[in-house]
Amino acid sequence: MIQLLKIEIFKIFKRPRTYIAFAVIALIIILIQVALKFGGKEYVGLMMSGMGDSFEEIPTKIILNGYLVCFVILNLLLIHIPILVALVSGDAIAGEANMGTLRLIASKPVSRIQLLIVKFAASVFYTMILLIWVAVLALFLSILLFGVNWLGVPRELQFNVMESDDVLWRYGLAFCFAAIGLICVASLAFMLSVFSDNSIGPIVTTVCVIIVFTILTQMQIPFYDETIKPYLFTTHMLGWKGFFYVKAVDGVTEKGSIENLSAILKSAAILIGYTAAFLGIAFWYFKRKNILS
Amino acid sequence: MSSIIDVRGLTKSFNEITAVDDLTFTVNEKGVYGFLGQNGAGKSTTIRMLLSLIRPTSGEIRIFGLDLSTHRKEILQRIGAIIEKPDLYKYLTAIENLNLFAAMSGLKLKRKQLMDKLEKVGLAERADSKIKTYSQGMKQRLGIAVALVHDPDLIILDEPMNGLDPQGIADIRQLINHLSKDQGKTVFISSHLLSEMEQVADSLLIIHKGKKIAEGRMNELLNPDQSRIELETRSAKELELLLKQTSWADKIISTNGQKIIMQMKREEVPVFIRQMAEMKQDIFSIHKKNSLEDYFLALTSH
Repeated sequence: MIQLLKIEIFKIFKRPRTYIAFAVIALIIILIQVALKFGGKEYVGLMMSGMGDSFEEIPTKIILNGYLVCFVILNLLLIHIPILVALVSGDAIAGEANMGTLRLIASKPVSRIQLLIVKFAASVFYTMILLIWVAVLALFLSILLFGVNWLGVPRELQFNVMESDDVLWRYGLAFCFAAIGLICVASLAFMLSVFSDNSIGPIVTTVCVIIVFTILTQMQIPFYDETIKPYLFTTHMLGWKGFFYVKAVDGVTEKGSIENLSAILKSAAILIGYTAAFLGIAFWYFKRKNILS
Repeated sequence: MSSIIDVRGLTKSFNEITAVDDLTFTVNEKGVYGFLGQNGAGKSTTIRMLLSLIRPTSGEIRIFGLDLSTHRKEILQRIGAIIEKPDLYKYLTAIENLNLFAAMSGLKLKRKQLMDKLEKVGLAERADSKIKTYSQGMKQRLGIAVALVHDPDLIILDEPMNGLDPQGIADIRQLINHLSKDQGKTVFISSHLLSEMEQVADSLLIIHKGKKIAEGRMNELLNPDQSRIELETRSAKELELLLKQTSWADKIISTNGQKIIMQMKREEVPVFIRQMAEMKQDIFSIHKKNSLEDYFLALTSH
């Protein structure tokens, strides 16, 4: 099994297209960092507007530190990384069918279930490497460029403040949560890939699902809040933000606290449930699939 | 001689269409077994079922004496196959492709061993070139190296000569003969190149519209003591009706328009011609048809 997994990972990282995602992420993150380095004051001003006079006196360089830059980047990117994840996961089986290699690997002495397990594990491996790449650039490079200080996270009617030594562990958990969300997207693309003989179909379908679901998630329409949003996996993918929402007593942040841990755990459980369902369908179908490509 | 492949009542239907219909055949150990049929006759579907790529609707497949549905892994461990064109990973080199498929069969080969295998198919010099730079013939040869990398007992080749130039076809023919005669492997090969099949196959299975229409050893099917003749007459159907009332009835193989194909002993041919003259039948032409192509067309053209 390990040998098969090594083969799949080898195949993924031998394809030039694999590196497109890494290049795109690096480009976006560096562009955001450059923008905040040179136009951070305006951005912070915009962010702090309406937060009250007490915040206006705080110097920009305290607010605009590596932790905040990372939060801004994740806020922008975690919606779009799934699209890059779909590039590899959507290609996992359909790409083999398209190339004509699926019939060759499926006629080897490896069970179809084993084949699917290693294929999905390789997709997850790629997703994790991509996430680590995001973490290195968004968190560590930002810390290097902007330094560290307390983190202020704006919310609708409040501003959550965390001391600098109360932040890093939150990012650790946020990235773990993001991993669960991205694996869910990978499993959706992977499931669609099993049904197709051409990788364009599953990749485009996954991207469309993400775009439509994300629009629905972000729509401020009360009717959708209880009818549709709770069932969209994109809604729960935003759960990582919960690690930066803290409890406050008399306006003072409670160090090490998380405002609503049960909501985060519920979102994680729902994402895992979706992943299991997508994979269950993929395994059920692939075991019976007639390989005609 | 023990049987390697034993197929009983194999049927595959895709919705309303029956691609393979109650197919029964046996492939014995060693030798080259030719699998013939027109395009769409069900050859590739049958081969895919032998490799467990397609699930049969009904029927039983036993390979090496084991049931394919329950011993898939053990069976596939001992089979090497090319299914239609040998598509490999174009972004990998030949040696990477070979190593990858060897590993999928549970083998860990060193570069020297892989190079030896590439040498056998004449690709050692291009071992480190990416497949996308290969010609069709080179891809085909690499496909064969991939199929043979784990030293299988049974080799299944689906149209292995497709897209090859005459030299490439000759090389494949030589390789098949070498595998069968020198290494004692069993080769199950489908092809529409009948002249090539005539040269390499010891036994034949012919299917038409999913059904078996002939099976046997090549020298029995193309018996030189038996002459297959094609007669051109006014109406083959009328002549057929007439012959069915005579002792020649069981010599008829097929009829088509003005042509009727019959098989009889060589010494019976002049007797038959005299009798036709006595029966005042207009025979416009008579041809001897004893090649595999003639035999195949006689069976499948009606």
